[in-house]
Amino acid sequence: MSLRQRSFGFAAASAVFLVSAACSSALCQESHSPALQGATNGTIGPKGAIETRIESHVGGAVPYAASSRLFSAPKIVSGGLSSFGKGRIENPLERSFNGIRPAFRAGSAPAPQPALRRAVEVQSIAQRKERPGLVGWHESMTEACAASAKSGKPVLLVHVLGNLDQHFC
Amino acid sequence: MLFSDSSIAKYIDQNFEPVWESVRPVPMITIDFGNGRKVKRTLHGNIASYVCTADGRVVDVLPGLYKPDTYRDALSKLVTVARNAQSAAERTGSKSKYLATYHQKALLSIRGIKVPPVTNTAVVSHGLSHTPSDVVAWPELTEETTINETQRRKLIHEKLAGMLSETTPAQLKPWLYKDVLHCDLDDPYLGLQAALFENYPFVD
Repeated sequence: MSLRQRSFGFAAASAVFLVSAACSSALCQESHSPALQGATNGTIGPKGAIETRIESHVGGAVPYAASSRLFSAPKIVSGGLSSFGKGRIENPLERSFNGIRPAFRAGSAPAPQPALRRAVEVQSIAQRKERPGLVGWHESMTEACAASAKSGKPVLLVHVLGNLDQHFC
Repeated sequence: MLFSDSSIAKYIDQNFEPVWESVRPVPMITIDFGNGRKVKRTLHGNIASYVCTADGRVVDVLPGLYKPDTYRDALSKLVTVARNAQSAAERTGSKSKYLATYHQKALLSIRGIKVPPVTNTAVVSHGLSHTPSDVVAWPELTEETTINETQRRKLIHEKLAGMLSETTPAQLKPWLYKDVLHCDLDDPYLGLQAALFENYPFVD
């Protein structure tokens, strides 16, 4: 590869980095804009239109190591438990580039690098799966009772509103 | 919070066969501030922890949220009660009599407890950012635990002591959520209709 080709490649990569950084920055700053609300409820709103234009420029998966400073956001406090920042919801472009594994899915496998041409899905924060504490829960009361008959240990059944493996319960 | 505590989780795994069930979707409130900011919270609800024998019959119930150490202490007593109930069933063919006696004794024990009245009703500020371990130290949780162990468990012991036959969590659930936890599962507004609509000047 000639010096000119390498320089061009570096410039192109830098341009991609700067474009994505600029968009990430814009998304962070405008994450509270009413125009961008549509993307937080699972529909492809104006953010989807922005991300599609980015994808058309790049034309393929590009490795991108985003700095966490690009999309740090204030935490939302919910019922005494800290939620992750709004940036995690409103900046799916970053997840597309670097497959960041959200903190609330600790223990799960890292998200694969999606192709940039694939539509970005924004999952409602309320529907995200959480680890239901550190207890080794049985799948059903039937299973727990069967295990109890074998082990001699009593069954502990916990009733909750909502689902223990979701963010809000 | 409770089940994320490693010592509680370890204790439960070692001494119980744990399982959780959802009784209904959690009611949520979303506040749209109109400037793009939205805040989402749960509105109402509670948990109930049933200790059961292997045939799915209820031994006792811990209503609501507890401080971890009180929860573990209560569970440790119920491990013994459950095992004794199972032994009684193996000996006599039924654990009803043993459980009825247990609940009557527990009721007498609770009735002898003097619960200090709540004197400080001021809302305490806990700041804007906290972890589950911070919540454990909140006085509100201590108060809730005291209410669970006295007022709510008293109702449960009265109910179970007076039952002629063994019961299951599914049979107990409607009464428990309505009369003990004040979250009527059969009410579409979960008992909040008055709070939501009384004195509200506009018709939805």
